[in-house]
Amino acid sequence: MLERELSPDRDVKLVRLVAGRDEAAFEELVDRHQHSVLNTIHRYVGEYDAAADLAQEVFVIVWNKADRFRGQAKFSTWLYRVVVNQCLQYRRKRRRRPVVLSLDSVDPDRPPEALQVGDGREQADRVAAVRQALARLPDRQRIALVLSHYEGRSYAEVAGIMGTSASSVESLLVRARAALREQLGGLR
Amino acid sequence: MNCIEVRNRLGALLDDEFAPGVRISVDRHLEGCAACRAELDRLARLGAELDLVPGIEPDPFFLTRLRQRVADERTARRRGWWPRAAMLSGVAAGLLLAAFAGLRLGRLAYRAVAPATSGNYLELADLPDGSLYEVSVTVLAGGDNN
Repeated sequence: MLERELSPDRDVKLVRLVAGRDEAAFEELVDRHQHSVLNTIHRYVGEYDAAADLAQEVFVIVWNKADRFRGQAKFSTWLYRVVVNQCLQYRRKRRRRPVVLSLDSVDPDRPPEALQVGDGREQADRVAAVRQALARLPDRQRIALVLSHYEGRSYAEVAGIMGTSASSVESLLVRARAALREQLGGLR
Repeated sequence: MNCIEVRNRLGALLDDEFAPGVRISVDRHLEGCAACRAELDRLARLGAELDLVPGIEPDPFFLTRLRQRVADERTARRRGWWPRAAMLSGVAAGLLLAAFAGLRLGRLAYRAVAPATSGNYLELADLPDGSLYEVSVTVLAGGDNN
């Protein structure tokens, strides 16, 4: 059984094994990253089933293309480039049906209506409003915000994933936050 | 630093993206500017609202489904190799057969004849299907037709 290490070097070792079709290494790599990959995608696309499918697609790509990882960047940078590409492709396919969640839309994370009372209902409405505001952000602003705010990545890391500069990332975040404040101002 | 410069960088302050020297300048400005402090507070509250969106957990069958997908892809690639190889072999065999038949057809279509005297002769050549067609043969003087 492979030992679990916490360093990024472990990812590099694993992906090289995956390139040699080592299934145990692949499963460990999935185990290390599935939670954050799934959540990143979910916060971008807003739907659980779509997020789960896209996350599966990401890891299938990792399995098929592990031999293309050169090790010049961190594995997580390479992985999240795949994540971002999948999100953007999904968005392009759905362009005629934008992902806009209304306050009444079905939300798998929202308790059933009958169980929401008082503050619970208000909280659920606020969560739905935040999701809707996120869904309305332009693609690049949304990606930058999800990676920076929700995944805790540095501007430099986000820049590496998005193929841009740290100052561009900061600029995207300034605009994203301004847009969100404008949409969510009614909740304050 | 003035208020516009500081407010454009408050997000980076919250994200802890400043080099120590820049941080000191921003902190110094905030100490003396209530408006910028209020703006920082509004940004922090926005962050708290963003944090209301809960994370999700992978369903317990995520890895099982992934294993199946990887296995299906592997099977599909193996299956894809054999039909392609068989098809290419068939095409190659067909081309060889056609080339052979063409060569044979050419031989049957022309038959060199060595008539006794020189001149132009009309020959009727055999085709593989048993039919005949006309071939013009020019016989050179000396009887050598090769």
